[in-house]
Amino acid sequence: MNNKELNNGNVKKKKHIKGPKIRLWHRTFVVLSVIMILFLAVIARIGYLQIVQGESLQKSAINQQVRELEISAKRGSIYDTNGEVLAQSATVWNIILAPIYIKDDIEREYIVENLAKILDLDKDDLMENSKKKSYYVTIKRGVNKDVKDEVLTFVNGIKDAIKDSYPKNSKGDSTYSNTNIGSLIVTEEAYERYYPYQDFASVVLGFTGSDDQGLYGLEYQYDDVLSGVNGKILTTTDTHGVQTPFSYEQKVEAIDGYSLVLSIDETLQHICEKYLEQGIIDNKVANRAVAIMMDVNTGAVLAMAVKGDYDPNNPYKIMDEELAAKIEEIKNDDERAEARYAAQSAQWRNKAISDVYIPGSVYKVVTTSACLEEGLVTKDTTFTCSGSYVPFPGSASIGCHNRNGHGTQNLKQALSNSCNPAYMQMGNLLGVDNFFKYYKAFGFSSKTGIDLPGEAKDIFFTTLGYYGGMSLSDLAVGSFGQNFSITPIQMITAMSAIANGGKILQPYVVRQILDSDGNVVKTTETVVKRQAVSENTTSQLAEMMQYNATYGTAKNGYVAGYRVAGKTGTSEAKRDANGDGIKDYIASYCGFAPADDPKIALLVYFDTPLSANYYGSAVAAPAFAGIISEALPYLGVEAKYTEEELALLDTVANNYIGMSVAQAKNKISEDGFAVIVKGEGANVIDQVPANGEKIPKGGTIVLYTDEVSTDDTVVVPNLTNMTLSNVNRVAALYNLNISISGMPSSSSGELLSYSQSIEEGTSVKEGTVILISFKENDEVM
Amino acid sequence: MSTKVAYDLSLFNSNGKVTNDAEKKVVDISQVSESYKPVVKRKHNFLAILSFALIAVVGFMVCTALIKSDAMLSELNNQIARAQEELKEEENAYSQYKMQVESIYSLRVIEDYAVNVLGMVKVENNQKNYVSLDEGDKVEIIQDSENKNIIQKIISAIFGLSSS
Repeated sequence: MNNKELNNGNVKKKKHIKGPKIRLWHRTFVVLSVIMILFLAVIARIGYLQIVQGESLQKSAINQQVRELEISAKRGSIYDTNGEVLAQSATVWNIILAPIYIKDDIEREYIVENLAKILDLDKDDLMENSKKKSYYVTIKRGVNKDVKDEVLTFVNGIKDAIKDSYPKNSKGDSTYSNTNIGSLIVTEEAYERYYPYQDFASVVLGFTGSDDQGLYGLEYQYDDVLSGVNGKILTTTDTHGVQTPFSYEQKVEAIDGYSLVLSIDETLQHICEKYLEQGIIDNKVANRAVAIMMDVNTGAVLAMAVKGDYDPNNPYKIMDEELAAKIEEIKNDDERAEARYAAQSAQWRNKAISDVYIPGSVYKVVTTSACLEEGLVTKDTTFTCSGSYVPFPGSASIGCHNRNGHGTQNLKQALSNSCNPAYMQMGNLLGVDNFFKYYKAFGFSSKTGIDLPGEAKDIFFTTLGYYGGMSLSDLAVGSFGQNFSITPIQMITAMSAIANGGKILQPYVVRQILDSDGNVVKTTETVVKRQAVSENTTSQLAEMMQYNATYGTAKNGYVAGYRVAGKTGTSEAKRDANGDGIKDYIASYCGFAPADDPKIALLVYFDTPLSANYYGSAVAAPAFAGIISEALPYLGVEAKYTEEELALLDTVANNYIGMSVAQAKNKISEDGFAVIVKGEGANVIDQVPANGEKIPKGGTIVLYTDEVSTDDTVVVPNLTNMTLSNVNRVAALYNLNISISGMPSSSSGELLSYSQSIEEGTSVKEGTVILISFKENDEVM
Repeated sequence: MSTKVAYDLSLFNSNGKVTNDAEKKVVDISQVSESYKPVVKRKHNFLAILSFALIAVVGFMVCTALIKSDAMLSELNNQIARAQEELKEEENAYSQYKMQVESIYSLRVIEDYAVNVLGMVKVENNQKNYVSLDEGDKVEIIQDSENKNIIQKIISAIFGLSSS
C-alpha cells in the first residue's frame, strides 16, 4: 500500500488474482471428481454383482466351467487256488473325436481315411461322425496302448502331412492354418476285462458288461467286492471344454476293487473239462455236460465244469456254430433276435447249480443210508427181485432193468445190482415220513447257499397238495431216485457227506478275498450245517459203494491202483430237448475216492446222450474214471496196486539198439517179450517201441537192422466196438501192440472197446503201441 | 528513532509494515526463485545404506529362490506324474502281454501240443515213484583227516572262513 492510499484512509481489500496454480487445482479437482464418480459407479456395479447376484452367478460359473472327470477304479482280479490269473482288468483307451475342429473336406477326407485304417472302423460311419458339430464323439472303445499311441502320432502329424494339399501364399508357405487340429482326438482311460484261458471255467467266472459291471457268475455275485470305488477329478475348463492350465484341481483317488482267490484248481478244472469234452464227442451229447469235484472235508469246490459253455472274452458269440448258422437263417428280425438271446442265455447258464435233474439210481445211496440209519436194514438183510415189483396193493407193477430178476440179494448186492424192486421194498420199510426226513437231512429240500448266482431249488412231490406230500406211488419211484428233481450241487454235497462221515458241509467257490495290496481281507471257513447220518452208516455205505465200483454196475468207473466208491445213474429227463421224438435221458456217475480215506467227491453227468448206449455206466463212468485217474496223482495220492492189478499192468521196453540180432533176441526173451526182426543187417539200428516206452507184458518188440526196413509201415485198422479178444487178434495181424484202459478187475457183462489212441487209417511202424479203452456195455439204470 | 512523531515511518516499508533496523533485510517472497531451496547439509550414514542394500539384495534373492523352488517343485511334480502315468501304462501293457502268454501256454494247449505234435504220452501211475520227505533234512558232516600238516590246516581254515 502506498502512502497515497494510506493517506486516503481507505484501505481496500486486495483483489485476488487467480494464479496458474489455482487454476490447475480447480481443473484437477473436476477431473478427480469425475473419476471418483465413475469409480464409485464401478464399485456399485461390482457390489451389485458380487453381493446381490453373486450366488447365482457363481453357480452358473461352476456349472459352466467346472468339469467332473471320473477316475475308474480298477476291478479286482480272480485267481485260482494256486494264484493263476483267471480274470484280470487292464487299462484300455476310448478314442474320442472332436469333429468340430475339422475345418474342411480335405482335412476330413484325410482324417477319416487314416483313422478308419488305424482303428479298423467302417469308413462311411466314421465320415458321418466326422460331420457332427460336436466336441465329443466316441468312435472306438477299448483300444490298447499301441493303437492309442498310433492314433496320437497320426494326429500330431496331420498338419505336416496335408499342408502341401493347400495353396501356397506369396512367401511360398502353405495356407493351412487349423490351429485346433491338435485337439482333434482325446483319449479316455477305461478298463477292459480279460480272461486269459478263454472258455475255461466260464460259467463259474461269468463276464462283465460295457460299464465293467458283473453280469453273470462270480463277476455278478461279487460285483460290489470286485468293483472298488471310482474316484474323481474336479477341474475347470474353457469354452472348448479343454482343461485350463494351472487351474484349481481337486482329486479324489479311486479305490481299486478287491480280488478273489477261488477254491477251484486250474489243473483239476482242466482235467474235468477235458474228459467232459471227450465224453460229449464220444456219446453225441445234445444238451451239455457237468462235472463237479468237491473236497469232502472242507466243502471247497475244486472244479466246476460245464461244457457247452462260452468264451467270456466274447460272451455274445454263440459257440455252437450249427445253432448260430440256424439262427442267422431266421428271416424275421424279432424272431431272430429272440432266438439269439435264447441261445446266449442257454450257454451262459450254470447247469451245475441252475438246472435241476432227476437223480435216478445215484439217489439209492441216500435211500440206503436212511434205512441203515433207522436200523431198518443191515448188510445181511435180503431182498428178492423177480424182474418187477408191486409196491403196494392196487398199484401197477414196476419193472427192474433186469427183466429176469436178480433173485435174492443182500443189501450190498442190491446196491451193486441197482435193483429197483429192492429199493421199492426199502422205501416201504422207510415210509413217507422217514423218506422225506432224510431227503431234508441230506440237504435236498433247500438251496445249498453256494456263493454263485442263480441257484435253483429242488422240485419235490406235492401230490397231497403241499411240498413233501408224497403218495405211496411217489415213495415207490422216489426210492430209486425218479420223479423228483434236484440240482447237481445238492447231489455232490450229499455224496460228500457220505464220504466224510455224515456231515453236510457248506459248499463254496471263493476261498479268500484280497485287497489291492494282496492282504487277506476275508477267508472262508468250513461250515458244518448238520450231521445227516452217523459215521457208522457212512462207513458201511462206503464199503458197499467201493464194492459196486469194483464188481458192480459202477465198475466202469474203476481205476487201477485206487479204491473208488461210486454209483451210476440213468434217469429220464421227462422232455425231448432236441425234438427227435425220443425221450431224453441223463447219464450220471457220482462217487468219491480214495474210498478208504476220502479226499474228493466227483459227480459227472451228461444230458441227453444220443449214442446207442445212453446209460450212466457206459456214458458217465468212463469220464469219471478218467478224471479220477489224473486227479488223485495230482493231489499226491499214491496208487497202491493189488497183485491182480500188477499182473495186468503195462511195462516198459528196454534198449536193444547196438546189440547184435542174436544178443537182442536173447535179451528180449529174458524180458518177457516177443520179437520180430526186420531187415538184413547184423546189428539192431532201431526198435519199436523205443527204449522206455510203454509196452504190455508179453508184447512184441520190432527190431530194425537196416535203413530200408525202417521205412516199413502199417495202416492202423479200426479197433473200436470190439471185444478184447477180437482187438488182440486184429492187432496181432498188423504186428501192433495194444495197451488196455478201463478194464475193471472183474467183468460180468460184455466188455467192448470204445476208443483207440491212434486213429484208424494212420500209418505207423510195426510194434507201435495203441491204447484201447474198454467199458462194460451194461444197460443199467 | 526520532522522538518527534508517533511513528517513524521510515521504519515501514512501502507496504506499510513495520520494520526495524534489525529487520531491514527484507525477504521479498515474490522475488524468491521457485527453485530456491534451503540447502541443508546432511550427514551420509554409510552403514545404513549398506544394510538397506544388503536387506534388499537378500530379500530379492529369497523371493527369487522361493519362486524358483516353487517352479522346480511344480516341474518335478509334473515329471513324477508323467513317470507314474508311464509306469501305469507299462504295467498295463505287461499285464496284457502276460495274459496273452498265459493263454498261449494254457494246459489245454500244452497237452494238445505234447500229444499231437511231439507224440508224447502221459506217464502211467505205476511208473511214478513217490519219495517220502517225512524224515526231515539230513546234514552230512565230513570228518577232517588227522594227517593234515600245518600248512594244510591253515589253508582249510582260510577256506572255512571264506565259505562262512
